[in-house]
Amino acid sequence: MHTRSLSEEDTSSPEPAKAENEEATPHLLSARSAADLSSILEEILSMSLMGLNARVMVSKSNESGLGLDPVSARLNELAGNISGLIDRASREAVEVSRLTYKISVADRAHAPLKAVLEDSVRQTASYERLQGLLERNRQQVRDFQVTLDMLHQRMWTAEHLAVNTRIEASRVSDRELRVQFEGVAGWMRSSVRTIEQVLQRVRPRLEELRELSEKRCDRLKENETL
Amino acid sequence: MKVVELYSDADHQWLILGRDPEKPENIMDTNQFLVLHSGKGLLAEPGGIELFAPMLRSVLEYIAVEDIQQVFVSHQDPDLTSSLGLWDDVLPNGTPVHGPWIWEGFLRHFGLDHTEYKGIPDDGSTIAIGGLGLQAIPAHFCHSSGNFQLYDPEAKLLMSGDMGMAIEPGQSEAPFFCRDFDSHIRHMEPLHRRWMPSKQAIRAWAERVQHLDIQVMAPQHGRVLWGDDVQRFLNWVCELNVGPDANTGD
Repeated sequence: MHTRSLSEEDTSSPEPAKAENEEATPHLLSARSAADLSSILEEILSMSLMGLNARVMVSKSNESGLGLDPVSARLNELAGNISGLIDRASREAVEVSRLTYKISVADRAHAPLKAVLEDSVRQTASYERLQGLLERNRQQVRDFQVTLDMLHQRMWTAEHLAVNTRIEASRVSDRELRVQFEGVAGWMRSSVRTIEQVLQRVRPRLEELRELSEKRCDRLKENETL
Repeated sequence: MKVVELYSDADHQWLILGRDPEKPENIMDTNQFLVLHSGKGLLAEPGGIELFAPMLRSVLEYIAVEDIQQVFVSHQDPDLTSSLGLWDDVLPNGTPVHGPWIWEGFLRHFGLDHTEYKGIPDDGSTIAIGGLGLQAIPAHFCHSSGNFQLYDPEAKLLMSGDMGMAIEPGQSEAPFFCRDFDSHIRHMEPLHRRWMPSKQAIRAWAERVQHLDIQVMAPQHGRVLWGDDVQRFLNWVCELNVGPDANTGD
């Protein structure tokens, strides 16, 4: 697994999805997405640790730092939530990859059978299995899409939390605590940008997977050549 | 894909499938087998991925996929097993795939979701098909560490896996049957020297099959031996220096 420190953060714009996806097979597209999502889990772990650290700092501070307590608690909770969603999205992408590969194998097995049996191929076990796999894949792609939408919402929340953290930090009289929390706010915003960049890379792939999955279901129903 | 009958009696047939003229040049020629009995089928050494489509087409000319009740693999090599994941998608749910127990965890990498791997114990087993009992005869280390051959006592036929294998120039055009054992030796010898591990393993196997009544010995590569050539083969292979001893004369 690739891990990245804050100083190594990639601030370049997302790569153009079309060029990347032009020759990719569905299982490769989803595997790439899973890998990209996993690569940012370290980032979230750091966010979580930063949230814990902030809570410790607040608990040790005098009354001037109490305004930061709910912010640090929310940061902690949000980091755990985002981490869970990214992990889920990554696992869903792996499942899509596994299913699409199984579909390609099932296609390969089914095609010669169809060539010989023609109309009666709908009565074979391989037809039913292929149909089942395509349906499962369609549902899995939808689940993946829902998870990414939820992640996107959490990013919006995290962005707002970063702004609130900065505001609360500016009200703290303890200079050391203020600097620490300003750092937390800055780091959060940069993490959000990194995660959003990954999501922007994953989204067009997901859209392509969704289109492919729908088309294949329709084609099988029409009993066209697979 | 060419199909030739090795044995036929009423509702009992052995077919050998191979010499596919459309097979890519760089893929080793292999023999696949279909055993039919009372309308039911056993597919032995189903072959590699590249052969799946022509194999399926040929098999369907003789039997419906729903009536293939058993699959047998002698060992783990990809030239006879890599199509298992594809057969898995067309065979009925729960179709048993019989193979050496030690290879189960390896062969499952091909994706056996619908078929059921049935590990053959080291001592061998009997595989029933349409009332016929086929014997899985141990041939361990010849050449694989977990290796079985399939013997049909009614047909007096031994499907011998890599024992008796041969590769000759223009193999795709070569006849299925050996007509001149002495001249065939040169096509078998290099493979046996390289792939068989020791005289000890070969002789242990030969001792086991010596008492079987074998009229036809059908390997997974090359020509089928029959009649007196089966005993000639046993005599020849038991004296051959193989494996680490191949060039020592020991």
